[in-house]
Amino acid sequence: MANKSKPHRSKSWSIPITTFIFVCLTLIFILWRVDNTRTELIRTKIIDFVSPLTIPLNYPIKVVGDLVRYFEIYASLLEENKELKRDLQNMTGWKEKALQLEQKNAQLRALNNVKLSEDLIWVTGEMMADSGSPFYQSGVINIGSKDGIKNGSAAVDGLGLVGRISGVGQKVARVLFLTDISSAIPIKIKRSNQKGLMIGDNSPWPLLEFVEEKGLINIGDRVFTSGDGNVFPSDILIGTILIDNKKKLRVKPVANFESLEFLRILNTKKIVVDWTETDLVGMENF
Amino acid sequence: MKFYQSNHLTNILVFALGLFFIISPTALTSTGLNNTNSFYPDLFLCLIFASALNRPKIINLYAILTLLLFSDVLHMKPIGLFTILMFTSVVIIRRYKLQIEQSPFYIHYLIFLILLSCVQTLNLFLHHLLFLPKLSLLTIVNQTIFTLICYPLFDIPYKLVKANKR
Repeated sequence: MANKSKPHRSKSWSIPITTFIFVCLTLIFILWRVDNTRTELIRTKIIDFVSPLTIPLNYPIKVVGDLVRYFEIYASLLEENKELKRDLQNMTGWKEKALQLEQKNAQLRALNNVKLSEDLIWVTGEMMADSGSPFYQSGVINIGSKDGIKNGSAAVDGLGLVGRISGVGQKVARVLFLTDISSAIPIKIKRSNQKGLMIGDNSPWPLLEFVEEKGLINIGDRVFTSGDGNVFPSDILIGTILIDNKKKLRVKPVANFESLEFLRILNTKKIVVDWTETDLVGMENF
Repeated sequence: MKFYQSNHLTNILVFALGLFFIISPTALTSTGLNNTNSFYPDLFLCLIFASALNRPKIINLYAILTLLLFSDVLHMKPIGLFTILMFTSVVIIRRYKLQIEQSPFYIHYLIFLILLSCVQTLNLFLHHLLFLPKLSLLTIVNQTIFTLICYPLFDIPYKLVKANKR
């Protein structure tokens, strides 16, 4: 009985070993905090190495997730069909208008002898995994430095900006989503031509800060990258303005974060020389 | 002793399941699980605590350590911070293994509740103290509640296996 009430110490794990492990873990954490860039490079190398393992393990979950999604789609099929028919009627009118505008655009370009930028190059990759945690908003894509990917490059899906590259391995790269708390992107609002900063807060709609005149902004105004700071090319569509319950300006991204499959990584030849990866906003936290 | 009766099998199972619970949340499920409004339990924590509380003598701390570090790396967490907190919890459990191992389910649940709350509170506090990217309190509370709900799914099978052995 007396023996039972005494705290039992593990034979295999003595105090020196436990202390040594604690010290090692603390040192690893301090190293991550102090020399973040190098530690993140090691993290990327590890993810690079283990990424082939995640594909077969994630496959059954992906299949189940897809089944749930298909079931949801099937359940709302009738409702969507009605909506689509209504939209189609509207779109026919828009199509006519777009064709006319396209013709006009081509004529004006020919008249002005416009030459489109050749600096912009892109690589398309497939999303492999996301951060796996609601606290960090990022994903892993199956293209890396051997495909010419560089830190800071913009990532877009078919609809708009998704985020930027933050950590490049040989075969994989990490995309920091624009919703992540470490993300800050210079933007411009098209109708009022105002500039500001879009800051992620881990919610699905990033905050809009440092806007000069908030009164000029309306709900639904379209938000684009401004190109300031030479991190992103300008005029990439990000989303539309919305106002939350606390009357704060937010951006509703057009990119569909719930079904990211393929991402296009944009590189401009110009941005490479202007900054190093440690200059990036939020890089010190990762 | 045959292999299926050995401690190695338990450790291999814990390691494999742990690996699965670390990697599976990274799957692109198209259901938007990983946003701040999600109700997403941390099954990996359940597994570690259930194994440590029910098999404190045979659980391999090196394997747990490796899994925790791997989780930090893969989930983009500050490397080492959560590992230190979790590792401390497991070491505490192992220190009192004789009293804990034979305890009934509700005692295990209470220990799990206390340790998980401490780990999450300390994690939040250290994030603020060390100017790390802020963690949402609401998300942590949501996750803790759902992790607590899921814990019996891990603890009860251990108890059933133990009862069958007797």
